[in-house]
Amino acid sequence: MPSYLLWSIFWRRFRRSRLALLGLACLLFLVLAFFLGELLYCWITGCDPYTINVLNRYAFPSSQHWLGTDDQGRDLLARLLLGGQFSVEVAFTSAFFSTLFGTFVGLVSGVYGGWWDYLLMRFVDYMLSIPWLIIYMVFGWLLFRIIGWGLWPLILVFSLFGWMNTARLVRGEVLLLRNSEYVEAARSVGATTWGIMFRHLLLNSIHIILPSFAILIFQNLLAEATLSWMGMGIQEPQPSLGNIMMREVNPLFAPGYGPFQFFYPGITLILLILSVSWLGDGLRDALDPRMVFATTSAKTRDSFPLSSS
Amino acid sequence: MEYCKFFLKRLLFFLPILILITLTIFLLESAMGIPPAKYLLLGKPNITSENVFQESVRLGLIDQQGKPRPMLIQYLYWLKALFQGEFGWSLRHPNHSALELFLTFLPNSLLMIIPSIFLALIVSVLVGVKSARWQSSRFDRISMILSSLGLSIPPYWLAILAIIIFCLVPYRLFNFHLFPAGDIISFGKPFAGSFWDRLWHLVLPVLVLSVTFVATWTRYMRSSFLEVIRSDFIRTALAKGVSERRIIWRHALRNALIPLVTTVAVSIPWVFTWAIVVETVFTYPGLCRLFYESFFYPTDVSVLQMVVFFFLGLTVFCNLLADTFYWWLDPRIREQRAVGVK
Repeated sequence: MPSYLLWSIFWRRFRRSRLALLGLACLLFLVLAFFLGELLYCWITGCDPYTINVLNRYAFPSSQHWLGTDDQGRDLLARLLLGGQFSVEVAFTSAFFSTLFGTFVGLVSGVYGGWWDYLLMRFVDYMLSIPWLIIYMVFGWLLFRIIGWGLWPLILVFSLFGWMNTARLVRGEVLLLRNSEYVEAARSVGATTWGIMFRHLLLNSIHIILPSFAILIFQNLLAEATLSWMGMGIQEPQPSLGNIMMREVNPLFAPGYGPFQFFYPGITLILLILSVSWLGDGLRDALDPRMVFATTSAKTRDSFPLSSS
Repeated sequence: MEYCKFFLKRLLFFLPILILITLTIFLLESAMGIPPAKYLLLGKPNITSENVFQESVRLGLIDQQGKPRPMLIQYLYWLKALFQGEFGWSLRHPNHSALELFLTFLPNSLLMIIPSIFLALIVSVLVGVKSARWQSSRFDRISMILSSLGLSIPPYWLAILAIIIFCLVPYRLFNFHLFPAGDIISFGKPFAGSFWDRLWHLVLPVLVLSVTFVATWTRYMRSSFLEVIRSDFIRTALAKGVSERRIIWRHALRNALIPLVTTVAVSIPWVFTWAIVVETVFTYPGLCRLFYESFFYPTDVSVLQMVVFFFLGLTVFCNLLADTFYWWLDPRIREQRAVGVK
């Protein structure tokens, strides 16, 4: 079967889910807005996300500042778009690195097995049961003390502690595939273990890897926003979706201020996370090889046994 | 007896992990440039230039000649001090030990976390059963969309939104205190500190904290209920003419609850984690907010270390709890182990 046919099958199955399409469109729109819209907006209005104008704090939306200004008189929309840019960069880069590492560990652990597999999986089990937010807080704080604040320490922490789930899932899939006929056939014509790992097992566990990549992006977006909101992630004056919201808590209680600085980043963040999660669900359903046979009888499968009564 | 054997086996599995945790924390604190045992002396009241030598010898930092001891010996002495209940002193709250702070703030946190776990459990069971019973109905679709929304709303954003809607707007527009925006009891009121006053302050934090878990557990409940409802014994019960209500609430729910209960037990550390942001927004004097504020200057390393130990110990405990639940509720596991099938 030529590979383009596979992708067209995948696309046909992906297209069926309306939520997944909505997620894809929303994600594309947001990412375009963050990366191109920021440049365009700054070019049109002549705003700069870093220019402070204390006399014009908490301004309401106008033609000069489309979403108003924040607590230091900086343009809110420019900061929002730039912050989204940093959030997306951190989330995607760290999800990419941890997926890479997790897939590698899962493949090696599943293929070779033995003591290392046992120890590694016990370690993974335990690390997964600790909430990642606490790990990120403690290790992020330690790392920031050593190499300072910024995007890269954040990416480093997220990718160092984000690979465990991918590794476990990939290992499970490899254990299933290891004894299948095509692996045996490949071995009989003289393929090496590493060749089988990367040419056959890796490509056949893609339906595990891609959805877990989406879940990692989801998790990293949430983690980055939470850490930045706490003041332990991306630092002022560099904006991020979490860090813009953080400054709004106190002025809420003073009369005369609009809560724009709190609403817009939050809604953007929720939209971003929702679209990634819908996209991930769609990917999972479209790539799952068991669904090929299930789709024909979806109606009968979903019927509830009690509904006849 | 049989359970003791099972429990001891699980405990033996977690013992190396506990040792590994203490070693990791010791190494991390060493990596910050100061021997960890020094944090136990930092901020201690009544410490003078005479007894600092004695204290350092006692904590294994130096030997009688004043030479620094090797790392391994330091680790063992540090562990001994921790086991004797010496967790160091706070810098942000002078003259209070970390243990004292921990014991003061923990009940407040539990007061908020336990009701929200139960609230989330009840709501998610009801919604999950209803949406599984009428699968792909309007209720099911709406509740699934709401649960994916609930998963992606950060709790701190929801907490601030709740403050705006339930505290700021009624107060600004009608000059009416619907709910307090923070703290644990109100001050300068005749009813301050009473049961109803405490309950009144708990309403918003508990609601906000439970939203994330309602979203997660509803999905879990729905899928496990759908799995159970298709099994043979349900069909048998239907064929025997058992009423639908009895099938749902007696036969199916009991079996569908087994995976949910273990999931809830495992995600208790997560409730504590999101309580960090909820307690911070509602300025609630709990353990999780103490943890968060200890990061800022002057950093309370001893308090941080204490709370991290608590979180990690809680993780181990909750895993043991989940295993116990599974063993206790699902007789299939017991039989397998007894016969030795697996």
